[in-house]
Amino acid sequence: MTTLHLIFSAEGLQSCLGIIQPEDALLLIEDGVYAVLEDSATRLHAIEDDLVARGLQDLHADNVQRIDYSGMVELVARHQPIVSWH
Amino acid sequence: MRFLYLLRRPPYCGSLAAEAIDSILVAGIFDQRVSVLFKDDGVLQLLKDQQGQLLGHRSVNKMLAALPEYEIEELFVCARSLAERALSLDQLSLPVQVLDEVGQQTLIAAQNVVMND
Repeated sequence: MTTLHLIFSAEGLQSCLGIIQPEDALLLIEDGVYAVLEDSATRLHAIEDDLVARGLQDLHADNVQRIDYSGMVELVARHQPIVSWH
Repeated sequence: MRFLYLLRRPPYCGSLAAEAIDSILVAGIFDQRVSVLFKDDGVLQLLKDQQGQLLGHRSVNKMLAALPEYEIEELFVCARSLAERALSLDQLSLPVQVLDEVGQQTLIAAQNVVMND
């Protein structure tokens, strides 16, 4: 299985981007969703409620896929290990 | 099971670093294969000659010194994090292996569980 990176902050994303592999999945969560404002080619998932709560629902680029909590459960089940980046 | 502790916090950020080290030692007691990667500000936990008691804490470098006694000897440090802080290995309190980005990718991919501080 491949790695899932849970991104909780902009600093966490910066640190993680240095060592991700092409097949890894990245999920923006809590304040990590602010990373959708940065232009990036990296394919990202983001928790929909965290986007909407912060007024980011219309601001994200095409590289971001919005998912709900059951989508998060699916991602978690399909990946190992899971690495949190605060 | 293979456990990796990914430590990215400075040593006296509340008691997070100390709690993480306690947790590492417990994993060691249970005979799991445990490794530790110090990254970002986490490399600062390894600095020699800390005097944590001045802040009312145990010195984190002294707590880390217990790891080899618990047979936790796979200790890694991020090359870029050291370089960004102008640190060299002789300034660190434990023998660690330096890993570049590819080395860290390989390490993480081999784990069952990755824990944080």
